[in-house]
Amino acid sequence: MQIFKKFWMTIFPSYSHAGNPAETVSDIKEHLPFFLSQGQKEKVSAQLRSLENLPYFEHYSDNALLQGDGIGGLIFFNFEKNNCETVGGIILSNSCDISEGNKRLEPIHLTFAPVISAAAYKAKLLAAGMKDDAVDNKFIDIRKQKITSLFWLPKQGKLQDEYIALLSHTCSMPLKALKKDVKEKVFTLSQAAFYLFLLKINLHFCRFDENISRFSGE
Amino acid sequence: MNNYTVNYISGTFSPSLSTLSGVLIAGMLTTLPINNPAPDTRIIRRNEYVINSTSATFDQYSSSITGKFTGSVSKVIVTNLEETIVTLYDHLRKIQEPLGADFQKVLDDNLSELLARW
Repeated sequence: MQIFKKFWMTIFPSYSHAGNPAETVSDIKEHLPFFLSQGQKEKVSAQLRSLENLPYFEHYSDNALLQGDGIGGLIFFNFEKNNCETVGGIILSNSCDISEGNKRLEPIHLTFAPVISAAAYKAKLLAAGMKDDAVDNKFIDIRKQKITSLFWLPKQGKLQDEYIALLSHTCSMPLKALKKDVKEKVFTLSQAAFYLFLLKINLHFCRFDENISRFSGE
Repeated sequence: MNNYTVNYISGTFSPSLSTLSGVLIAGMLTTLPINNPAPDTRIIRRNEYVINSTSATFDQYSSSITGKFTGSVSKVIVTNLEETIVTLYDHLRKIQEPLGADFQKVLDDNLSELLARW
């Protein structure tokens, strides 16, 4: 029966570890990348404890596309205008799933969330008649990553302005439709920001602990 | 990154396997505490257990509660990141809120103009 218990705990850790946070922590430990040194783990931990000062981006010389990378040349279908637009966005697909180095039988599809300019959005809100205080307070919440459907991207490094990723406007496209000349990354997330990104994706798409009944009660 | 593998699942259906699966899942349900509440993470957020909570009295190998750590220093540091992620997730989960109808409308009405053109 132990093997079944192990299987169950793997699928439903939040249920299995009830009352034992040490086991939840232990589970996360198993999923942390092996290549992080002790010093790097301590550094990432310190960065995540201070989101206000979190360095979001890092420079990688490797051009392989990674989950959480910001790139241009993405094809987004705009339902309001009923047309396709070429936009910038952040990659949601798993890094291995879009790696061209991996052998696969099926074509690669890239899932992404489009990104908007924070300054332009703020200007549109004010132009629409919204009060300064309300807009300022909303942007404080956005920068604190409080809005479920948004992932804030600060003005740091190569990113010249603030941007906001729209997690509710995700789109998918064949990787082969991405032109080679636009594959240069606009940004790549730091290790700490990548963990923050994963948590936000999880909170937006996978609220396993939400306790929504899917049964009619019959 | 290059260790990607694809698990191919057969499209065939086996009644005997289905029955066996039902029995196994029923067995698990009767032995595991699935009705218990979610884990309480407050205990791992107590400042006393943070590695950097040093003072003139306690060095980096000591805790103000337990004295000397029983584990190695590296083990304590490694645990720190996992605890930080659990705590951050718990924090984010509690503060999440929707954008709001008015803000969403302005966004949707002007989406094409707002989209980044990298």
